[in-house]
Amino acid sequence: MRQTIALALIFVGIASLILFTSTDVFTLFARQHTFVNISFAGNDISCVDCHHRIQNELNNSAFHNDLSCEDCHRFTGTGITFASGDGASATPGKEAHAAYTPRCLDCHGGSGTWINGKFAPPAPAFNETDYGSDVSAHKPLVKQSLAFNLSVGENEACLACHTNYSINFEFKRPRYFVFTWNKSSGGFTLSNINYGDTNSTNVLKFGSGWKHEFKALNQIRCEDCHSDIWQAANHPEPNNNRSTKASHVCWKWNKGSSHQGNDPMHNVTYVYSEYGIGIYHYDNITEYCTLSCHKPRVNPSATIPDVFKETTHAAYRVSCYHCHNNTDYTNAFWNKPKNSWDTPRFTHSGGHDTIDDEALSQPLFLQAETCISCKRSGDRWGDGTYKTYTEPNNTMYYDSSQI
Amino acid sequence: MSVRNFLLILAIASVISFMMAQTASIFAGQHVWYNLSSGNDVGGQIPCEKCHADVAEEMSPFAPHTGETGYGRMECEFCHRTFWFEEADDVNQTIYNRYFYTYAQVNYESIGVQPGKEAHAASTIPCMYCHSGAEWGWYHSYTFTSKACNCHGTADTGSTGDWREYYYHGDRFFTGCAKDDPNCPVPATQDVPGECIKCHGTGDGSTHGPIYIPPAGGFGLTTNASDTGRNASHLSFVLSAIENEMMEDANEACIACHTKMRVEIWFNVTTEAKITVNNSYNRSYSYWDVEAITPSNYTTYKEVKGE
Repeated sequence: MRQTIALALIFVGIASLILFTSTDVFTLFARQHTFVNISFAGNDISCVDCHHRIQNELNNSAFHNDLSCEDCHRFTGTGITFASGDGASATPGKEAHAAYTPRCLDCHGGSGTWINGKFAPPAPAFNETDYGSDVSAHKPLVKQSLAFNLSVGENEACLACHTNYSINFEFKRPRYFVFTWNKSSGGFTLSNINYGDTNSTNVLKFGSGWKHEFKALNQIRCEDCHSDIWQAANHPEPNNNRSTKASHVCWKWNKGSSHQGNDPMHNVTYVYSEYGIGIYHYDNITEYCTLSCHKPRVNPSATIPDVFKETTHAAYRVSCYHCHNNTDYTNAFWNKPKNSWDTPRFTHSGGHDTIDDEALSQPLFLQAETCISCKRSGDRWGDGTYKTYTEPNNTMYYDSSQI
Repeated sequence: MSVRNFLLILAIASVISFMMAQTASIFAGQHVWYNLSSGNDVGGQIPCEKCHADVAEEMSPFAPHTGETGYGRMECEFCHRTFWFEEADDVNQTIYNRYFYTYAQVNYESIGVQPGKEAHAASTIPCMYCHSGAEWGWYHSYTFTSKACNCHGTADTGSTGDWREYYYHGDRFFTGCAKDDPNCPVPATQDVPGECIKCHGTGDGSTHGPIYIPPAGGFGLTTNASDTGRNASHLSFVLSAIENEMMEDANEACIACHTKMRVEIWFNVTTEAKITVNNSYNRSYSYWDVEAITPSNYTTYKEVKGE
């Protein structure tokens, strides 16, 4: 007891002594009066101090990892006046203070831009007036991104493909199409066109989620966003034309030819090793999607379809009939599996007469269905009603019979 | 103890008691009062540093507010006692007039004594109180080197030729007195420096200026009509700081970036977007219509600045 009282007295004594001798008032937020000297050239306030995470993202990025934060976020090419304390004077900001969120096209629009000794190339087609031609497959996404506030400008579209930001797509399409081919002496006509109810398909392009992790171009894969289309194109069901894999595209034109026959350009099996890697193949699905159809290599000295005279970004918005019509495009396209220039087959001359014109007058998403369904039913060359389901489904009917 | 020893101790104690006439005070100096009318530094006669030495120490490195004009550190009361702006566009009065307080004030030689109203000695004020003007840069010719700004002192209210009333910003800051001013106490020998130069310099070139306090433009808070702030990345941070009551106005944001204070930031960011597209059509045309782009799948992470 006596010891406890002694300790208490000693404690009270020391506390009193501290209280008595302590005259300083401590600041609640230490260093809030230690200002950063911003009079040196350049940005003296480190962005990374508050944004380590973004620096880490850029360290893992295929692009822009050699740029400073200021290169992009204080880009002067837009006419924005940023605040600057360089030198003894100072420039107040106007449209922005320390930084702005750039539109990707601020640097990648127009003719491109030199930034800190590095060239930012223009984004083809999207750098043109009104984002270029309507045959650019992704133009609606880019253009319509302007209406949304997830990011500035068109950046939602850029980020979707070029970064590891995850995208959960919901694609809405008519569940199926119904149409009738009518054959007469004047040629073919389409009639009784009907559309099914709206069907939604969800596709998750999964990534780390970080918007400053830019992907290398060869890491951008069509099937990441369009796996539903790949599923429709690459299905194992046999059909009346003895094609084992053919829905979104038909790669087998002739009943009698083998899968390694004369028409390998659209052959989905050429992305599989078991069908001849080293002889006939595409390196991957994306190469197949682009080279075989949506961005083929065209022969500059040949006559090519009009759509391919336009500049586009990643892909063209085309159907079978843009190449397979009554015009002869001799040696117009590079057929990679054959490693030679190739000519679109079945120009629909003669018996096909007006079939391509008739199909091309329909909405784009219906055009290819008329071609594919006819091929899958066995090239019937006559009247008939078809019902074709849309991606990712690939079921088709001819006069109520599944084909 | 013998009687002789007892008498000796008693005698010594009596002498000590007799000699010690003063009573020791518990708090030494508590009766030594500061003379509030002894100098031109209105509101600064009491040294803030006595209690806030740590703050004074923080302001010792060369940086804004610590002597960048070449005339020493700004006094505490420069920032912690708001003052009147004679020119309307020197401060965004629409926003910041409400911070114009009446503080307790005693002028030099007690010419003018004012009790405090909204605040006594000091208040915390928005950074933007001084940094929301329209103009920036130099004003004087580059050859102007006088440390006395008495041209402005005489322009202020109550200035009738008495140099002791040479104040500006609503009788707050002593402007000094030039040696060629006949009203000065020591005319023709030397200037009496004013307080103005600590904030404004003299405007004599790249070392002692500029005259105007740089506006923090780019958030749409200054009186500059071109200051829209429409592209500012940190605009929401600043506007949220204004809404937040921890500090005055946008100070949380200003201090976070412009000082070395430790800041812990929790970022809540989206890692995924949902894009809904509809293949719309009519009789001859189909096209992909983007119906919605919405953020989803948020994640939170922490950043710490100042470690």
